[in-house]
Amino acid sequence: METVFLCEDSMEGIFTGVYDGWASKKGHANIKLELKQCNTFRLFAEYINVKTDAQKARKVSDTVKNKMGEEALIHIMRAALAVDDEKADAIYRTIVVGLALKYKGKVMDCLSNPGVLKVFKLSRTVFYEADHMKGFIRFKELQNGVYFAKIAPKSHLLPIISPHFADRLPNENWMIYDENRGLFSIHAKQKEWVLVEDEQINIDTINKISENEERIQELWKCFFHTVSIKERENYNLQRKNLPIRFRENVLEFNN
Amino acid sequence: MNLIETKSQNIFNCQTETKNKMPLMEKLAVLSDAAKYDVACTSSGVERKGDGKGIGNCVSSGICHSFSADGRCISLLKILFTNECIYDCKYCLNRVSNDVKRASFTPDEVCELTMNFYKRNYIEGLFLSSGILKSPDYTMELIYETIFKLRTVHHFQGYIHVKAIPGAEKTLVAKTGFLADRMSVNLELPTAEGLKQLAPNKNRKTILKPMRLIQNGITSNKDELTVYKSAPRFVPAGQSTQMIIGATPENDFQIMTVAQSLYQNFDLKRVFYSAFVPVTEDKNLPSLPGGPPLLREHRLYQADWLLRFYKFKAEELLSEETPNFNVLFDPKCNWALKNLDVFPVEINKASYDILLRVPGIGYQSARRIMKARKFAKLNFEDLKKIGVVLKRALYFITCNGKMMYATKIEEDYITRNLLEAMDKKSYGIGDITYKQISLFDTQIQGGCSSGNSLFM
Repeated sequence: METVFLCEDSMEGIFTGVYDGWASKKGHANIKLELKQCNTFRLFAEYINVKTDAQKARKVSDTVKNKMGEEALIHIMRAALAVDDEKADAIYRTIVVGLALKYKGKVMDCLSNPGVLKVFKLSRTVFYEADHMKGFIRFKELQNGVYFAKIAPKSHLLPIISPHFADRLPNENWMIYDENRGLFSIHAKQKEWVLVEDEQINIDTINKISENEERIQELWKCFFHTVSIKERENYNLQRKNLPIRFRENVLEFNN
Repeated sequence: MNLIETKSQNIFNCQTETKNKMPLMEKLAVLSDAAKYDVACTSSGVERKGDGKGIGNCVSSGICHSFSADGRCISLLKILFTNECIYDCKYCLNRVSNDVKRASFTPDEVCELTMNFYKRNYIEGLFLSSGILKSPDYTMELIYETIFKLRTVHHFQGYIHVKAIPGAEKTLVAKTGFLADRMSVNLELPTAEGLKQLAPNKNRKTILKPMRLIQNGITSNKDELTVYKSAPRFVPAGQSTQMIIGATPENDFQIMTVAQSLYQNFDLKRVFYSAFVPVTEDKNLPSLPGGPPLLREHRLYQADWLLRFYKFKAEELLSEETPNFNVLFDPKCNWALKNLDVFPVEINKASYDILLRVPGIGYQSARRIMKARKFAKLNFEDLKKIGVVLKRALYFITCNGKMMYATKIEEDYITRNLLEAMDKKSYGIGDITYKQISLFDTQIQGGCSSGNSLFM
């Protein structure tokens, strides 16, 4: 009978699931990892709830890193941030395949394996979205001097984009709010960035913009409009390159 | 250093006293409008982490921050320092004889805009070009002063792309190179004759001189960096250039040959092609009733990619007999149709260089095929997953000795089938009926002699 390990939808949750699944010694073919939220129960399967454990997760990520290399770990971690019902199982399969290989570092080249292919594709999706977001985020300066940005990404991007901005703007106080998940990443001047959950957003504070802000916004909109060449106008191309779903939070597309 | 600053400030104060009253918004509108015909807006080629004290970093792949209504990427704050130009180039909006609104920034204004835009993540950095104010030296000095301020006063570590002004003094260009990430000198027109005709104040020699200077700077800097790791870096993202397409009668073969020799002899990172947009009227300029030659520009970029990443040579793609690209097919597909004796190739055996030449296989797919076939024999299903465009590739490949469908390896047959599968609208050829295709066939075989009518 199949055993299903239900894990939490987070990097730690999935890695703990991988650990428990492996430790159960039921044979890889008899094990399936699923996410708690999207689970529909089947009759002929045994269900086990995975309790997220930071230590177990750490062991898995260390093993992946040491045996299969940094690149594989990055792919797997990105896949864990994606929105997909079957990502947990794909990650499990990838680790199983990887550890069985003679050259374990080459696991991401085995694209003919469905699990690896899935991880590869998810990783690519997350990477592209993060890449887009690094460009499309717009900060606004609040009265209290904080640079504030709101995003609504499909994948859980804050862990990927926050280091980028921490490196770029080390001397600013900034925060990015993920609307879809209710998460904040907060960075104080010359400090490390942190991820904050369950924090209520204070609408008043984020609507109070600094004195200079409106002027800069107008300057930017002016630049955005004059830099386009009329004879070459191509709204289809524009929409292809900057999809509509991003535009809600991009300043120059909102009047 | 002090000398330059005080000198240029003095000149500046007396010269712009009246003009400084123009509000920043208006200046920005004038000077970004004047800069937009420069196509280079990439922020790629250099990877630099922030030092933790200043502001900014660089990502080697570059980042696009927005896309304007023409669909082009906005990555850098692309502005002219001034559009008060003493030259009279016929294709240019800012030529001295043209009646347009003139404006000049001050270095501080450029810094203010750059820093404020950068902090809000509007831009990846600055692209600073300029009209020739007073003299090349004077203009270069102003550009230098601006980016010197950005780098030292504002501790800006983002991307900076500046123009080297042809005719400016050697040391000025060299000094600027140590502050900028990318420098470019525009070739403007593909041949010396074209330049003579349309840009009476410029000549090929003065353009190539700073280009060579930057190239030598980069080479000697590389030697230096191997010995002293922390030596200051000179133009780390390399240099680029731009050619205007369609203003003068050069054919595609001439343009590609020029681009190829620039890549080979000047180590350029990029050559940009800019479809000519008639912004001024002159008897020497062509009229373009069909709008700018965008399809031609597109084909040139495709061929440029083939030169840089697919190991093609200009002579393989075009020749004296067929000097222009095919309107219907991209250059690689066109090459494949003319060289059917090479095909079909076996996916599980062919070398990387051969895979690169198959239509429908890009360099990423080719690389993935090389890796994946070490673990298992690949079939068509695998190729699809890898990202190969099978509807184009299927005529040119075999998997384990078999083709995907029974197809003839015959030019007419493949041409017809590829045209069928093509999204005709995106190529701007609209409703082509079956009958019309057979008419087109003869023209396809002759390269694209008729294609010109689309461009002229």
